[in-house]
Amino acid sequence: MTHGGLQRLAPYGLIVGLIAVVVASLCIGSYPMSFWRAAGIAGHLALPWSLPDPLPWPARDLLVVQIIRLPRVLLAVFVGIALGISGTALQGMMKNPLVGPDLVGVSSGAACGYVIGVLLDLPPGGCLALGFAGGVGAMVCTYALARLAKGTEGVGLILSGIFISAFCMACVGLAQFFANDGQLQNMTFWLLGSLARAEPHTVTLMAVPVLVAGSILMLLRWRLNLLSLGPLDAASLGVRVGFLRLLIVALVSWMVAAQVAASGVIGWVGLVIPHVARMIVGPDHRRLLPASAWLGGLFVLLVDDVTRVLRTEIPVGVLTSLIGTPFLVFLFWKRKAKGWMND
Amino acid sequence: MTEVTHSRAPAAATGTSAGLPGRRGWALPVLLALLLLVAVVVSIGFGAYPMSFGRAMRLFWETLWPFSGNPTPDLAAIREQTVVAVIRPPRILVATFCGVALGLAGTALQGMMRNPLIGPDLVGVSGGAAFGGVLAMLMNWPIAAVIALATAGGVGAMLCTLALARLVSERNDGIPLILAGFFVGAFFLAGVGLLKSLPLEYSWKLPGIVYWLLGSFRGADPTKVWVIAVPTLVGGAVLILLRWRMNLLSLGDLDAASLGIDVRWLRWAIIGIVTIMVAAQVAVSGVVGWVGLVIPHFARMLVGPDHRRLVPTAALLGGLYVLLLDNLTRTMSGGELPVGVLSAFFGTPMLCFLFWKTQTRGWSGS
Repeated sequence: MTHGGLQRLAPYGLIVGLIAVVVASLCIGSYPMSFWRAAGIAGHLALPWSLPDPLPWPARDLLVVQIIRLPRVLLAVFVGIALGISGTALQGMMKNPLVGPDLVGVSSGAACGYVIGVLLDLPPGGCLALGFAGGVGAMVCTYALARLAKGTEGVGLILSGIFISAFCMACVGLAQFFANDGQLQNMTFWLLGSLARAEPHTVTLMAVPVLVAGSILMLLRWRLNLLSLGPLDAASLGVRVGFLRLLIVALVSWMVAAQVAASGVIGWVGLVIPHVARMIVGPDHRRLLPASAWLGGLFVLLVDDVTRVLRTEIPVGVLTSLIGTPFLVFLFWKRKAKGWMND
Repeated sequence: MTEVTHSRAPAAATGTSAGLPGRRGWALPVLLALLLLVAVVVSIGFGAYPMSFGRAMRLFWETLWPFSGNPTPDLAAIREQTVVAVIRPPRILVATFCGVALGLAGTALQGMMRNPLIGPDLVGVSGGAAFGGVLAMLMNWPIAAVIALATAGGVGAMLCTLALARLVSERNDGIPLILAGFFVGAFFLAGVGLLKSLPLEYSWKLPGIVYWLLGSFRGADPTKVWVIAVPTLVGGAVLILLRWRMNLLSLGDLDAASLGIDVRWLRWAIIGIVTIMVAAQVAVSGVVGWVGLVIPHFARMLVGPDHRRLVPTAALLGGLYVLLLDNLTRTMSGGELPVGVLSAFFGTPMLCFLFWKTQTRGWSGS
């Protein structure tokens, strides 16, 4: 098979792999379960009308999968998809391979807004709205600062992102200081970047933004290709650059805010996954965007599986950083900083 | 290219004071030294213990000058005496020395690498030192081992950063260094997170370690004063002796070498001193970020880019700044805010302002 054919088929291969890993992840845990039984239950849950009258498996198996394991697995997949898509969209939009939702301040801004919501005892919806506002606000601040410093193209953006994130994280620290004991417990547990709090309503909270914003971004993948030619070329090809950028920023912030609200700040996924996807399928966003979505889901799910197999409480965010930073260092070395600096 | 823009930008920012060091140039460092001394004494009067400022000052005077007071051995007075003479001074000294160490470290690194965006927390030293320190603390090792491991971690992280930057680009300054430092620092901080979540024998010490890691001067005692004072004073003295050479080094490696400086040796000496100072600071008070990066800029605004005046000024300014932040947290009611959080809260907006003002000149390698 030619290289181009392989690249075209890669997204489909990835989604098959993702489904297989999802089913395999359902078998991990102290209650034993075979792969095919887990596959049968998952298929039954996905297609509820195919219910055979006497259940071919014990009701206990169904409960274990449906109530205990499936929420966490689905949450991991959605978190990974959200991070993969947003990283790819941001990198394509800003033409900058060093951009990720955690580096331009979206993640920490969302964390800041969410924590303030918790501090004010808002309902979950209010916290999420504040997290969204914080994410958008931080991103706008980053962009404005980079624009002021005349460095939107290259490293200037990253530097202002680092500053803005640090400020947002300081605000999170302040909020932790002012929180009462119940709120503090809520915050610290969540800030570590953990998937241990997965419940059906968390999955819903995560699924809606990922499905809605993710599909819109998928529909925009053509325009992302044009946008990555540069704003002038894109405009001359009939793209409304300003509006499109604003739309992408809003969609990314919505997804990342939901991700942060559901599982805390999980770093380096949104930055690394697009690079891996680009290695597999090339720079065309029509294939890159789905590929990085599936790859992100696969990566976060596998990392979470590792913590579940080892029966440790190592937060996922810690593991993704431990894996992501050396990988990034490797990329940085290989590319000799080409395209990472503006000289 | 970088050295030209870098040396020009601060000169433009400081206007006339960038010329030859006249007498006026030295007035400011002397003034700052006096101010720091006054601040240290005045800080004795602040704290959580309910005591009027005047009373604290008088008790402190009686402690220093034992002939002046009339000994009234009632319990409340003894308690107040203890607060003023035993509890508050170590903490104030630790805060001051930490600030001095960070100011010195930032100035030395920025001068050596000709890069205004370098600070001990951005080249990964703080992250590595934190990793070593947490490791030693979780093993329940004594404070000497904590410092030794913190130093080792700091040196290791710095070496990783330098090696990575060298691999990526021949010029060992500018953006590759910052990015490499950012990656290395993030990696070591993730390692700290891993240590925190592993089930180890001494995990019950974890809440204290977490609080310490955020940067706090709580629990300062005479041992900690020694731990931070000796490296700061020795390292600071050496850096002040090297201030001439740092001026030459900031001209660029080639020019410095042609003026008779052993560039390689000098760089290693500076890196060693800075790492030991930062490791000692992290060992006593956790990661206090954004001080070593911001303070040198303010010192440069005050006295210009000449290291002969810049190094002492940055040291004094750093001590003053951290002491003020610590006084702020000590007087705020209801629990105690880590200084690291406050320094990030105030430091990053200042940095954003500086970033805007310098228009990425010399910051983005172009």
